[in-house]
Amino acid sequence: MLEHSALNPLANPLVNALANPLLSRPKLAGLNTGTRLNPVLNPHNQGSSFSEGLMASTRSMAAELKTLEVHTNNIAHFGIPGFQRQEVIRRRFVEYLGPETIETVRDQEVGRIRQTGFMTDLALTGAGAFHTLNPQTGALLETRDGRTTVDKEGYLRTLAGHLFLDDKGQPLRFSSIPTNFEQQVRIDKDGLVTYRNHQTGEAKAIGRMGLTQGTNPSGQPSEVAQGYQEDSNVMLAKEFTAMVVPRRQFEANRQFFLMQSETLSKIIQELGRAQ
Amino acid sequence: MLQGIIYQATQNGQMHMNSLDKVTRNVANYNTTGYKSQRFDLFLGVGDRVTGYTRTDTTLGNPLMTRNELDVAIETPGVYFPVTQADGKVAYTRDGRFSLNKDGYLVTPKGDLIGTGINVPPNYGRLLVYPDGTVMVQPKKEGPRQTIGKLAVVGFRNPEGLESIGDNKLVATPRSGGAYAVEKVQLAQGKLENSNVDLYEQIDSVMRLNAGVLSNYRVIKYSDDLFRQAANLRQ
Repeated sequence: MLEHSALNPLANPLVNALANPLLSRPKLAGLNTGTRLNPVLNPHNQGSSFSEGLMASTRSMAAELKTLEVHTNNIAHFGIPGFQRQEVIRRRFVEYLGPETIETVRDQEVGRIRQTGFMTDLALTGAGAFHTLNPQTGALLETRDGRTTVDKEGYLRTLAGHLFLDDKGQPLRFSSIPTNFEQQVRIDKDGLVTYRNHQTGEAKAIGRMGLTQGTNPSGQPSEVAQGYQEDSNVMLAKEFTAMVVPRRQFEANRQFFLMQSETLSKIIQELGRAQ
Repeated sequence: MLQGIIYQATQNGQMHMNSLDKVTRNVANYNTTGYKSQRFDLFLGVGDRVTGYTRTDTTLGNPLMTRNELDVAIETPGVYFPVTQADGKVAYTRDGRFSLNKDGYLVTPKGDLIGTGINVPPNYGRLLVYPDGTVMVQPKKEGPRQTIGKLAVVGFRNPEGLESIGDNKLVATPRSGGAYAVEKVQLAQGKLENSNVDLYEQIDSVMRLNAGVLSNYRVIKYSDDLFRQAANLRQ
């Protein structure tokens, strides 16, 4: 870019004029002190430079792309039960900071609770999450996707293979494998898991599901619903319309970039000829 | 960034197609005896990638009265008849439409032996299957009954881990664990078990999948446009 030009600004005052096109005449005051003239960092510089304008457009475009990425990510996870959409938070100074100003926050709204008839499906009727453990990494996790499976060792797992934990932080495990989950396993609204042994017919509680309770508008605690699934809270129409503005913003910035680039090249050509 | 979106959308489209595959299978097997409805559950795997997992609904299908003495329905969910295939390997089925082969053995419609083979004597008169699986014949009316074998019924620690090999048969996998004999079982002679496919649920799935697939492809188109615009910045 021009400000990094190796040309000596003393010999070529025009360089300064190019970098600061909005100044009426090249500023020569700073030159006498022997400081290197930097049109961006120079405190005497009141105008903006072309290169700074180009950079600002590029940063804005990058920020719009990041915004669009969040929306497309939401759309991609439309069909995932328990998925909660990310919402974009824009901070100020996008033109200086670029994509760094884009932050996301999880939308905590509860999705549609749908009956599936699969007794292995669990849903939380309000805000909150199930406690799970990734056995590979030992990381404690939270999920709203309550679809369960029982592996051949009797552990209650998520579809991703993580272990469901009870309220004491221990993995939930059945003493013997339920051959018929529908009839043998009952999970009540407080998350108490009861298992009826099909040989002896006796029912026994094996633990209470570990839950994080969120704050519900009704003030009631969230309940576990067995045989239900929570759809993602992504609304396709909302996501697609939310994508229109960043898309146009991207195009506007692109046009601006092209305009600036064109003007700059014109100036260089014109002034170069004059010299 | 953009490449990431397109990659993710492609992956996602593939998973949705897998789901659709299960739905079409279910609808196609609506009238298949003993068929268990399957669904392909999508979830977020490592790095928030969309992946899937096949689930099987092991609930009982509706009973169908046929009054054929060689039709046997299993009225206990999650258990299977072992069958010996022509190559000697064991598979499992809930399809109880049995018949006799030329050597007098009870076989499935595909000709696989039931269990390790139950031989029915010629001119057997009447064949009786007891609820616990005992098979008896009564050569003469009002005559004595004689036991000729027992229909074995097996269960698995994780029936969802069974893999379908076609012809309404399943095979054990490391995920399902090995078969174990189930003693407490309820069989019914002269009945068949219909599939447990819920057509309305399939329609609901198709509509939701349709929305997912279409929006997914729109995302690809969208990202592609942006990609092109970003690539053409230098004119």
